[in-house]
Amino acid sequence: MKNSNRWYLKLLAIIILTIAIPLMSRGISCAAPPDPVVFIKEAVDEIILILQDEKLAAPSRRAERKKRVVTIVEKKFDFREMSMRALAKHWRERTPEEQDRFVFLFKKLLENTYIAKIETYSGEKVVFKKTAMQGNKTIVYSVLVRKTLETPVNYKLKSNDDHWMVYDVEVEGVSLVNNYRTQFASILSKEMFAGLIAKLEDKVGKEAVE
Amino acid sequence: MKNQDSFLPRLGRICFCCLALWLGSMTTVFGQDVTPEDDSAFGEEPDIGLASDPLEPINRVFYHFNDKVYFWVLKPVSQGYAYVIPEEVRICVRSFVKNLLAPVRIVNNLLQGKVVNGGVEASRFVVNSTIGIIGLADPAKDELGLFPKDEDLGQTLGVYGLGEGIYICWPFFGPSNVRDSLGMAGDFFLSPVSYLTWSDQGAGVAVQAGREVNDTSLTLGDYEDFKEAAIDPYVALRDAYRQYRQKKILDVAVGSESMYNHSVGKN
Repeated sequence: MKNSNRWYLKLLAIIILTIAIPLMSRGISCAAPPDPVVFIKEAVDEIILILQDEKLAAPSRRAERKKRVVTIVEKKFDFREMSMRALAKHWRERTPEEQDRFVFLFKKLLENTYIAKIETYSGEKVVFKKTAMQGNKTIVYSVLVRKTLETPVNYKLKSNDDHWMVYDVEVEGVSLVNNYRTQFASILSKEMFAGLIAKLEDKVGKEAVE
Repeated sequence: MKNQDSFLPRLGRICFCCLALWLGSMTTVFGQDVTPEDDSAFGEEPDIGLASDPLEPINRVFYHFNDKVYFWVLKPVSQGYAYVIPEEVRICVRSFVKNLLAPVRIVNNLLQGKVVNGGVEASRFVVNSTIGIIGLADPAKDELGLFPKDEDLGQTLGVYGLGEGIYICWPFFGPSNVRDSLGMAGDFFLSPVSYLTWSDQGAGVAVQAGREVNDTSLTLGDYEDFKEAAIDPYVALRDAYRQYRQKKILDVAVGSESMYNHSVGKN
């Protein structure tokens, strides 16, 4: 009895040691100005609150629910900045009308594909980690916790005047805006701008074109 | 006979030279620490430049092939599997296989000079194999906060400065490039599944396929979402893969504790 106890203690000690060394060297990190996190957290909390509201989940109020989410997102996401970044050098070559049209379609595309995802919400959580700041830009690091998977999601923000606006989102390190920029550049290397617009209109569906 | 005598010291000398070279390259690795100030994430221009994709016509064919494999085979099989096997069990199976692949992560952490992270992976392996019941659970992360430090040979080669080479979309395996394909081949020797394949090819392939089905059953819908959001899914996937790998090599992708203290030389 005594022997087996001691054997167990020894094993425990070894395990504790192997764990303790890396643990001690971790420590310090985190702690950053809270403002941008609060800004993002507000939006996320508001959206989750809407999604958890069972009254709004009724099929008859689906449209209202989506509209309320869109309103929150519009306050926090700078779709014009995202469009500029996604088109890069092609942005300046376009007329203001073309630019507006593009912003409208790009926003619709993002709304359709991402905000539509709210219909499949099933208790996901967002855990905020920390922020990195430089000048008027900030990255807020968070993790989207699903039952089966944890996905790092980074929000990139820029301060306009005295409020933050999101201009890019990174999922698993993949920047949304960079990803679209590569696609747009590839299309524009083969087609005219009108061709890209047609593809976008096709993608967001007829009802959004009017 | 005499030849053999002089062989060993020569081997020793070669080993020493290799070690010196390796240590030399280590210093450049330590020097590459990313701080928020020069994080390319703040940059205005694309971080990774244009893809080198001379094989695009063939790659596109394989992309569509993989797409069909997913929708016609992998997805229905995974759905059926998910219907029969409870989610908790599938999560356990995934952790189990991930735990078996710990040698890949430990060795590559060490090859990159990330001694602390190598220790974290080793501790994770010890804890999860024992308290976590042969890796079915992940108490190392859940109870002790030891997060996985995912490294593979493709990343190691990238840290050493090897470029990605041309983009390759493999049938079945999906997006890759020359560097990561070399890495996959190298990591093959550290994977227990490979040794199973060695002794019994059928069993090895079955395990690989089973793993793929199990993992897919836990992420059903993700590929559909990705495709839905893309205007040209082939280009979108190629770019996503390149961004993902680049961030993995620089260790700036994840918002976990590993962020800015990933290499031991910093502290």
